[in-house]
Amino acid sequence: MDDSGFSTMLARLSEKSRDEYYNPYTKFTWPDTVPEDQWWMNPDYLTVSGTVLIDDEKTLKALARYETVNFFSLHVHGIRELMIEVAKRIHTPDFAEYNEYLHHFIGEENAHMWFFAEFCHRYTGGIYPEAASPLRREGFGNLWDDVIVFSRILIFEEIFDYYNSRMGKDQLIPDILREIHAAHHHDESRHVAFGKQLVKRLYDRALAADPDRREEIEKYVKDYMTYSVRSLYNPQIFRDCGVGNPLAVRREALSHPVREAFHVKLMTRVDRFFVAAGIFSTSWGTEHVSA
Amino acid sequence: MSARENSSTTSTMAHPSMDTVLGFLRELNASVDTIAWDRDLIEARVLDSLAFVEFLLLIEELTGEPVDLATTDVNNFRTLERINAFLTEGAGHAHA
Ligand SMILES: [Fe+2]
Ligand SMILES: [Fe+2]
Repeated sequence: MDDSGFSTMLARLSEKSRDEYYNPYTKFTWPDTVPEDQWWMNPDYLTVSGTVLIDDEKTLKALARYETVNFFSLHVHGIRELMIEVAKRIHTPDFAEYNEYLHHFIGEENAHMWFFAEFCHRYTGGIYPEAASPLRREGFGNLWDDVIVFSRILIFEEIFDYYNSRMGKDQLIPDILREIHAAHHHDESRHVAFGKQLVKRLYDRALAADPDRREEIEKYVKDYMTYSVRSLYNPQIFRDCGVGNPLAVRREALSHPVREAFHVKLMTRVDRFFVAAGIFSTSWGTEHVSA
Repeated sequence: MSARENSSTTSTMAHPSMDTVLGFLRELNASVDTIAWDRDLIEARVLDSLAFVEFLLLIEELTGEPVDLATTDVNNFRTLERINAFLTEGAGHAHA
């Protein structure tokens, strides 16, 4: 394998992380309150956008607040779980060449977890609990588990970045929210660049050692994409915004044709990556009729 | 004796919501239509950890009550037979 391109990228990303390092605990000016009559998320990005499932502005604004809390909570829980996996691998022989960058990754994700949770605790009732599955995922063997862990991180980061890159410059939302989205987008552009290269390398290594599991891995990664889309539609946001029949509204939103088309759009970049890397034989989007 | 028990739990006693449950599981794995009602759905690769969260929400919608995993054994959802029993009992409570 020709490693020179990869090593150069690693060195460049680590240097950027050093140069752009900031203190998350002093970076933001937290206002005393965030007005509830303002949109906390642009209504275009709500889970019911494009449907007419909720049309009353007060309920939609409440939904925008709870969706913000859900979005931030997803980062806290999702990254905690994934940071555990990264922490298990840093400074082990298989990951030695990534150590420097993984330190930046863990440090930056720790900062993100803090500011996302801090927002929720300051201005709302706090973060939502995680929707943990009572079932344990079975392992696919060490090499394939490496692929799964970093694929999950990549999917997660691409979903966040879709919203962060847009809301980070959206004048409709309160300044503190715009600043949080922008700060996260700034760091994640490095993570995504690293993640794609790493997943590809880990995939090639696992495939060479154990080619029989290829299809199983493709299925799992695609199922994880579906799972991630669904996690945006936390049933609790529909209960909390006060809509009648919250589970039915959630289910109808999730399977609405406009939303299904949006899910494909949301996933386009990462879906295209998995196909180009040979990890997917067909794209998630084309097979994916119902999220 | 056991033959009678089997037939009563699988066909004659099926809760009306089992159609919706089977429809949901079919999307995950079409083989659900042919598997025995006492077969473990996780071992049969119908349900997995990723789909389970969504599955519990479906059960909540069908019974009208959230499934509290602190008090409800996950094993209640591992076979079609036990899901059917759970729905039947749940509906009984709801109408009581
Ligand atoms: Fe992050
Ligand atoms: Fe990240």
